This record gives sequence, structure tokens and C-alpha cells, in this order.
Amino acid sequence: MTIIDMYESIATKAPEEELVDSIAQTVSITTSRASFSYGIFEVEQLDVNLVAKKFFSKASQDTGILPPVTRWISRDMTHIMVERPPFMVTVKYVDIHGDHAEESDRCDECYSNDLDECQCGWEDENRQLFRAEYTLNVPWTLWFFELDKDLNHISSCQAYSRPTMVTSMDDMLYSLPLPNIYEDAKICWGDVLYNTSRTSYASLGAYLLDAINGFWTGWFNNDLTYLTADIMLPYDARGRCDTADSYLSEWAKMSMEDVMSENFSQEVRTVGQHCKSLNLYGNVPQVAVNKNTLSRFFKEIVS
Amino acid sequence: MKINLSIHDSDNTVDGYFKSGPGSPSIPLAKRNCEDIYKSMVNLDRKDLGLLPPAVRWISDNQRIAVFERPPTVQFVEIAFDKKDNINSNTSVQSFSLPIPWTIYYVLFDDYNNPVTVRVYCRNEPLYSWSDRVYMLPMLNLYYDSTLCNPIFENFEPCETFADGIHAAYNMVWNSGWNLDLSDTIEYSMRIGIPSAISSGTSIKNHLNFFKSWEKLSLLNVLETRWSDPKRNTSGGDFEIETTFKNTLDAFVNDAGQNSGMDIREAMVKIVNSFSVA
Repeated sequence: MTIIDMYESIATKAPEEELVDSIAQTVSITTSRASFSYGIFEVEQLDVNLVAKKFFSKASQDTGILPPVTRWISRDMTHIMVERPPFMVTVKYVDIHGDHAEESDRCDECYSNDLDECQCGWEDENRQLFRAEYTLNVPWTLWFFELDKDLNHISSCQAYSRPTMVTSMDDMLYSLPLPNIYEDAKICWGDVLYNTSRTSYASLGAYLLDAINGFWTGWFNNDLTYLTADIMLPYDARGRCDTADSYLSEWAKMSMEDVMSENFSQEVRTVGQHCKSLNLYGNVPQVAVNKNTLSRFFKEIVS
Repeated sequence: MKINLSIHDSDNTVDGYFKSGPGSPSIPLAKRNCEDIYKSMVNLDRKDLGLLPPAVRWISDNQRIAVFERPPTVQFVEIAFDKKDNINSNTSVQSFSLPIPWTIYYVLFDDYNNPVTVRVYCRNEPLYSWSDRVYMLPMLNLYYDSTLCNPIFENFEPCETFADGIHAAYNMVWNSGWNLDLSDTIEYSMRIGIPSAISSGTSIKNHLNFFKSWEKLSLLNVLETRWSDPKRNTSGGDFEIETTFKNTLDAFVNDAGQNSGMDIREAMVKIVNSFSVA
């Protein structure tokens, strides 16, 4: 039985907290040798250079190749701001709440025309859902990605718009008034990010840009329309939009100049204010400091 | 030097002793809270880099090294065709508008955002993955290993932000003046005839013809050009490394001494010091 096996066998008999309390732990480091012991068990000798590297690793958080339009990265490197230039996109829309339902589109059982409300199992394909495509001019957009601590998965993303490229932290963020975005600018991804991770892409940059593309190529619907109140639309379109599709229809009539106007959407906060809030949140140490952190830290070194 | 630490999970503290050498007395280390020791030993103090210029493609964890990329462009260069010390009013000065492909810059910064070392490579398309290959840019002021010979500016303007540092690095490459003091990569290019559109042909074997040939190319032409692999050493030997982005970046990080943070002696001193911090 190896030393580690012995330790493991003890560990399986007692909860870890009890074991930690009952066995003294010592660390011995010289310039040629390092070891970590649990009570009488010296686990193993360690490569001292490895110990130095693990103690003071400065290269543990590798972002990989960033998207070419990365404009800001948080201190802990888990929040990345990506900027995209204005462009024209054709979005797909489906009315899942029956804004356009005819009598014949209603469920025979509950008479609902709302996919979410109807619990009768009426198949989606039986309904004559209103579908449409709208070609929109889109201003500058900013995407604040939050990644997990391993930088492998997108935890969340907030999307904003801007009339110009960001040139200062004092520049204002504006809402991106589209369906599938919550009031706090977080994106509802649907199944766009399902089963995706950085490891399946050539780089982090490719992963993030693909997520953005997924947002634009996925289906918009009238399930989440916090930001599509017609007050967002300027000019004479206001007051004419009572459904998400009529809103998109009005947007589709807008020129690139219209959408690049500062009146296009609502001011939220400055870029700097937003980044600062993410830094405050993101400045939590990578390994949460709590009881037994140091001993766990040494255990990680030997494991 | 020897350090012995004892971790007491019952009260979440750590103490111990250290000996500075054989025969030295053991010096006890005051009992400290484990969390405090952990925080003082582990680097948690990255700074906010502020607004980044577009096309920063990689930043090292310690924020001392960055890679940025620039799209194809036509660069106006004015070259004095002699060594700097020999330049006088009779020296031939020629200007060229050179179509430049995608360029990639590896930059080591000091603690104050000032670029210290810059290495320049080129590609025919933007970076996409670690395994993308990078190529030698046959340009003046670059050593064989594509490291820039740092210019000496009369007025040194410190960089206030990380973005300033990126701009400064770019300016060091393209706006610091051109002469024939250092033309390693061009001579190598002429020697092996790559890129052929610029370097091959019997009349090419001088710098003037090299740039004249280059100037005749369009931006589209240079993006279809085969560039030579970069060299690993500065002396001009023929040893070459695998030329992927990852490998060249690893080499740069290694050459910059930024790969392992610190050696064991430094680490031990930091451990001991962390006990003395109030």
C-alpha cells in the first residue's frame, strides 16, 4: 500500500473536515526538496521548481487567443468585452404567444393560442405560427461575456449598443433593444450555447464570436420583450408598435443613420462604470478563501 | 535555506520556522491566519488594463506580455541607404509605399506599460488558432529572430495606460526611422529567395531593389505571398523552430523570463516575508 493509498483509506473512513482537524499537516521546503505531510505520512517529495511555480503561478489563467475586437478584460480575466461594428442582419421571428393567431390556430382543447399556456400537448407544428424575417441595420454592439473560472464556458453575456466605436471609458452604453434580452441586458440564449465550450473551438475568440453569431441567427420571438417597448424606436414609429414583430418591422424601416443616432435607444451607464462593477465582482480570488484554504492549497500541489 | 510550516486547521492558523542555511539557528515564524498567508503568497493583484485597442489577441496572466495584430496596410517608409553612423547629406534617401500583410506583435512590457521587447511576425490572414503558422517579416530593424532593435528616442514619453503601451510598441516598429544598420531578416530573405516575388531574381541582391520589387506588389499580392519561416536565434544560424503561433509565443515568453514566475529561492523568501507582513 502506498502512502497515498493509506491516506485515501483513512479519508474514506472519516469526513474530510474531521480528518483535517485530527491530523497535523506540515510543509517542509528546502532549495532542493519539498514535501507535504499528513501527520506521520509524508506524501511525497516534490519538484521544488514545481512548488515555486504553483505557489506563485502567474500564468495559470490563460485566456487563449482573444477575439480581435476585445476591448476590455477584467482583472480576473473572466469578463471580456467584445465590440462589433455596425452591420446589417436578417433576423428570424416566430410568434409563440399568438399575437397573430387566427381562430383556426387555437388549441382545440383549451382554446389557447399561446404555446407556453397550452398544456394540452398540441404539437407546435400543428399551429400556423406567424413567422417572418426582418432585415435590420444594427449599430455598434458591445458584448460583455462572463466566463467560468476555467474560461471554458460562457456563464452569461450582456449586450449593449452604441452609436460609435468606444474611445473612452466615459463613453455611454445604450440598451440593445431586441427580443431575447432581459432588462439588465443579459441575453437569453435559448439553446444557442447548449453543449458548447471553448475546447470545441480553435480559440476563445472563435467561441465568443460564434456565440454572437448564434444570437443573430437564432429565432427571435415574443417570449422576452423587455427591451422592445416602442419607446425605444425614434421618430414617427413610436406608438405604432404593439407587438414584437411590429416593432421589428418598424426597425427594419430604419436607415443605418437612424440606428446610429444617440436617440436610438436608452442610455444605461458608462463603459467604465460597467467595467468597474464587473471588476468588483470579478476580483474575487480564483480559489475562494475560506477555512482550510491553505491546506487545500497544499493538497492541490501534491495531487 | 529551509522552511517548515505547520498548518493548524483547528484554529485556521499556520506557523513554523526557517533556517537560512546549514548551522544557522531556527527562526520561528509568527502564527498567522491561513487566509492572510494564502492571500499574501498568491498573486491576486492584477490591475485593470483599461480600454484596449482593437486586435489585442492575447494577454499573459501577469499582464506583462501581450500579442496584438494589425490588418494589411500600405506603410510609407523613408529609408536612408547607409549605416546610421555614415549618414550625411549625400546619403541616398528613398521612400516606398510597401503593402504589408497581417502583422503580429509580441510585446513584453515593464511594470509601467512601457514596451521593453517587441517581436514582429507576419501572416496572410488573421490569427485564428494556436496552431496557425507565423512567418518572418523581412523588414529593417529586426534581428534574425524577428526581435525589434529598440529605437532610441530623443524624448521618452512614458505610457500611462496599457493601450498607450500597445501604440508605443507599434510606433517603435514603424515610426522610428529606417537605415541599414540592421537588415538581418531582409538579407536572410534575399539569401533564400523567399518571398520569391520580392527576393528572387538576379538583380534583387541589394536592399534598394528589394524594396522596389516589394513596392510593385499590391495588397492582394502580398496576401498571396509565401513568407519564410521565422528563425529562433539572433545570430543567423539556420536553426528554426516549429513556427506555430503557440510555439513562437512560448519561445517569446521563455526568452522574456516570464514563464515560471520565480525560482524556488525567490519563492521561499516570499513565503518567509509573507509571515512578517502585518
